[in-house]
Amino acid sequence: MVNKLKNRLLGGIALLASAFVLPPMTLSAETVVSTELTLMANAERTESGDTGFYNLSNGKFSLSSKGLNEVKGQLTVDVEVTDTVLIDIQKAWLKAQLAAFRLTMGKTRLSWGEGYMYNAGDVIFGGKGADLSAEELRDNNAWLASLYLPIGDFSFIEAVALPPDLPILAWQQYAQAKASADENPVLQAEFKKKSAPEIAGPKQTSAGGRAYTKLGGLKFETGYLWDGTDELHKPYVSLQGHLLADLHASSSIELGSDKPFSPDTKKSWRISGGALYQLPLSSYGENPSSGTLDFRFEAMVSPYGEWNAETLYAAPFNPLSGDGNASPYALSLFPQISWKSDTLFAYVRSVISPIDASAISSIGLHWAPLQGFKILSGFSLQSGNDGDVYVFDGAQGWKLSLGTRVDF
Amino acid sequence: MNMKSLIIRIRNCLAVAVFAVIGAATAGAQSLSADEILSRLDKGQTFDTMKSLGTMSIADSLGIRKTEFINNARGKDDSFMEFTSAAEKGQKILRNSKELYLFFPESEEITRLQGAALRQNMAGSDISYEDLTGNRNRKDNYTATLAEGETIDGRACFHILLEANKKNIAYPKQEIWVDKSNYLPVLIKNYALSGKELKEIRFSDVVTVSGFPFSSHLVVEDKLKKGTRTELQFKNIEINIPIPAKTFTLENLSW
Repeated sequence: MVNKLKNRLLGGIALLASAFVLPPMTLSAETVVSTELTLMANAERTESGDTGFYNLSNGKFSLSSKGLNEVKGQLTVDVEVTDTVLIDIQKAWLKAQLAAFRLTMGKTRLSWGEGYMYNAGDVIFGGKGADLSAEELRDNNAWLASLYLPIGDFSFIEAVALPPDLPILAWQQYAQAKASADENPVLQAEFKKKSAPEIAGPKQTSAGGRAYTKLGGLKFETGYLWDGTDELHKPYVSLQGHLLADLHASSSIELGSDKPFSPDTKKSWRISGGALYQLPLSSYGENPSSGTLDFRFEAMVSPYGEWNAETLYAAPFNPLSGDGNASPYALSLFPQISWKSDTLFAYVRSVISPIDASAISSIGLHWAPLQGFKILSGFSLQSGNDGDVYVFDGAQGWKLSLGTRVDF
Repeated sequence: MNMKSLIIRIRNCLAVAVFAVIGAATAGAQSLSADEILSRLDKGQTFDTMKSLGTMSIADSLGIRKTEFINNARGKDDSFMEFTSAAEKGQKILRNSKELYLFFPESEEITRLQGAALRQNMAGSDISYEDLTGNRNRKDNYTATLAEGETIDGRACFHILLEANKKNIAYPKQEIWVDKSNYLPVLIKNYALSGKELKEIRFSDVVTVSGFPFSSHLVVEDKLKKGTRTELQFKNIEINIPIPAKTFTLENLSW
């Protein structure tokens, strides 16, 4: 077991190192290197009610292929620095155009469904994890393989498979526990209760597909995912169109493999919808600036969800984190007003739980006075009472961020 | 009559003939109506296909920001643009007469927009997508009046006054100065309904590509923002070349 673990670790390190060391595969291929450095100073209300200060630095290094017409790839490494260093392979993918279809493999993102904050059609990532201080709220990625088959200019079908992770970390922890038990007989009784982690079976592989097309003026998308982790069937449907504003709606449901029509099934039914109205101001009024004022409103509804307010959490819990869902309640709202010009991105946005009257509101200003250089500022405030879904840092929790970002 | 006198007479006759031809041509040109000039202007800016590399420079009091892109255009409405500069990181735009698709490579997301989004400015510049691709049917959207000709930047021009005859036109009023020799725009001024000048676009660096004259350099000034201007420089221009139909598809957008 330990040798197998070591071999797999070494293989992984070799694969990662080769991406940086090996020369381009063909004489015509080039590698484009890009770097993004973000340096932020933050102040926020701590759990004890005091004010805490900390810095958070992030570096993102991307190697992207260039020059090959039928193949492309990207490797992005994300490094977060605070009192420790966290390294993450954010993206590592390749795309290959093979005859009539396109193959994508590696760690990347597929955006299914429709929605900026709320998207019931996002059955792959479940709408988890949103960064309210960013221009793009989500950047989750997963290891996957997909086949894309175009049908017409604006229609396609896509199949995807998401195999479960190789449990290297679990093996490492098991090996460490075994080594500790071997050295200390006191730990052996506890160790015997553990079982060695095994590679997941086929049933734990998530897989599905979607179809995307236009019906008249509407964009219509429907798909299905077998979620191997939770053993759930997840069909969805999504529409997008325009009537005075850009409108969208999506709906999905989760069917258990053993009991597809249980009470949990009804509770899992979600409907999301939204409207976006864009007002380009360069041609209006007497003193407009060149830019676009966006008015956005979205909502997520679980018709059979919890409509009564109650205290759900005994400990701080961030429903916007990577492990959380939008809200355990039946209704969540997201209004946003934003302004975007060549140098400015300013926004006021809020995630609202009307059932328990709690919210996280965020205001931000990103100013790019020079090419490749941005000054970032943001302030967020939690409103509501202790125990409300969006008051996870204590009542009236707040956070102030100020920093810079440079791209080169 | 000696030989020298004969040569002088022939030379004078040729000169008169040349001037007569030029005069006739000029008179013919001057007799064109505003609509006819607009038709020639629109026709001269509409190609079956066009591909170019472009650099857009936005200058303000703090410095200059540059954006580079590859633009493919088909007919009056279809265009596919890929941004190649680092800041835009491979963002792509697919546009036709009714919808705009944006692709953000970081999120692998395709966003479909309609309506007012089609009039938004390109990459935050002073140039709209309509300035670049869709503004080739002025004759249908405006009522034109021919004013006194002028010389702009050393080029003899027709001077046309335009008033929109439809709603939802980006600029209710325009003035266009059209080069008399090649029917290319030399200067365009856009006005609000009140008559306040909003934007000025100057065209220069005329190149001939596949027999078509083409202005490869545009300078746009937003008259409401002092100290800022956008320059657009086209290079590697190709006109009426075969562009695969697959270029203007979602497949290419998400590649």
